Amino acid sequence: MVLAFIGVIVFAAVSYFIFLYQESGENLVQIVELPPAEKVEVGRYLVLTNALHQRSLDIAKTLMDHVRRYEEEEMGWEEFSSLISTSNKRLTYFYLVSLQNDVPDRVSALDMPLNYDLYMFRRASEELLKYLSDRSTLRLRSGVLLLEKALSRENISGGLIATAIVRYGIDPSVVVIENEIWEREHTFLAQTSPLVIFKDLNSYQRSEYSTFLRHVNEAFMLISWEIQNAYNAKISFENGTISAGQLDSSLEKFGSIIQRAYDEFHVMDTPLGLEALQRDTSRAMVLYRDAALEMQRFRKTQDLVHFDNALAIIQQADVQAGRIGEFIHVVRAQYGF
Amino acid sequence: MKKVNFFLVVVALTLGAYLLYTQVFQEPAGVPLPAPPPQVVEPEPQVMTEELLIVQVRNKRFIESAYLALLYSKASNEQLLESLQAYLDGNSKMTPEDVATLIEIHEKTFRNRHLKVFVTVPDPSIESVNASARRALHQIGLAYDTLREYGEKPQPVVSEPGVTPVEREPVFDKTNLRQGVHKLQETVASTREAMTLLGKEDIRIERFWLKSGVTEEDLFAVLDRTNNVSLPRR
Repeated sequence: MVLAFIGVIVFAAVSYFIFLYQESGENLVQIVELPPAEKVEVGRYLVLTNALHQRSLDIAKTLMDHVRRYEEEEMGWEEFSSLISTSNKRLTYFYLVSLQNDVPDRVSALDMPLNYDLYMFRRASEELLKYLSDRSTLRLRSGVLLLEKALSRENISGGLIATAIVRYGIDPSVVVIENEIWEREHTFLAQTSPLVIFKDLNSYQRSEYSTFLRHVNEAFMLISWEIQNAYNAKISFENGTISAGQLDSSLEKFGSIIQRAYDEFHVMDTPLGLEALQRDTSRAMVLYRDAALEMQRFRKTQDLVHFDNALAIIQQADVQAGRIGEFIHVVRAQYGF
Repeated sequence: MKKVNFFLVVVALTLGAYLLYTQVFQEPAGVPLPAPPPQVVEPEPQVMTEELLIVQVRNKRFIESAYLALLYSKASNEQLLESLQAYLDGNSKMTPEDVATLIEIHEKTFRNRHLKVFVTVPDPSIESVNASARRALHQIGLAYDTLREYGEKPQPVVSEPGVTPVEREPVFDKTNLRQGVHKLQETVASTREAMTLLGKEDIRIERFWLKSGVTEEDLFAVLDRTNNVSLPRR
């Protein structure tokens, strides 16, 4: 009887230990030794991807929290709009960095699922942005759905990255990520046209907004017209259709119009809420004025280098002005100006 | 007594052998750590041409509209399901007529979204993505077909030729409603799968554009021409 009992215990114990051994083996990650150069490459990819994910997750969690607070009326419209706008820009930036990230072959299979999380974050914030313009609850709900879905994958994505870090023996503390990536985030935020804070305006504010926007728009249209004239005059001069004097007076007019637009803009009062537009417009105006100065140098020296310099500066300013134009269009459409 | 002991030893040996067999020779149970999925090297075109850009713009347009159609349908279906479930559980103040109207409104919006995707024809290169999106939308459509039966009027009764048919009262059969709810709930998986495929295809296109330096001007230049080809090329 005793023998039989001992027999049962021994067999059960042996089986249990075998089971335990197998379980522990299951959890072991197969370590893969990589050549040093590849290890650096894989390490950079994993650590950067992890950083992009962590940052995006933080933003998404804050967004979710703010949606909840907004729905419970603990947060005002302006604060909510501003947060969505900034979050969208940041999530878009992280997504773009991830798309441009070099993916080592060794971890290429990880890339698509990880990128899809960032894609969902970006799409979610875009839906929330659309909510700002049409206040459709369907957009709000869709944005929240995507955020929830992407956030629910936090552990899966984290697990994929962590396992790969262990598998390839990466020490995250020695991986160097260029600071430029994080610095460029600020440039990206500054360059992306500021999104409208769709606050409710009273009649006085409406008129203030309308006047300011009309003025900026007209100034840019006038400048654009004069640039075209100056350019045409130069072509006509080269073709011998106009004299040097006519070219000179045309360029002089160009300079004086830009200077006038610049001066008029800088004495205008900026309505509250349009400060970012004021800053961007000012930057564009400075560029146009620099171009006018180059034109002046061309008039004095007849050196074509100055004319080409002016065109290059105008091109930069036009990009800025294009963004401002889009912004003005959005504000006008929103308020029906 | 000895017989009993012998019997117990035999039992112990058999049990032990069985345990050993199950632990050593059979597949262990448990959830393994996430292992990287098998590596699939996808051939990507290396050079961006105008023709390729036109195709990609058209595909992207399809992908975006299908993705949003599925996302909005998903959000809208969830709301509808919530209301219908509350009604079926007796936690709603809606009348049967209200329920039928609610279904009708949701269905119309869905059909409209479906139609927009239906008429867009992407390039055959994204056939599997296209099929997956259409399958998911079709499945939602089938669920609405069933839901619509709730509150539907049966065919008018024609007694004699030349006599005006008798209009019949709408039938509010909760069995139809339950079946429709069940079918709509079942669309979640296919919708999710289709959205994932669409999203990943979108990522591929966006990455390719970034890596090949496609500018806004390039896109604007081909935008008009992407509308010219509305039928799939054979």
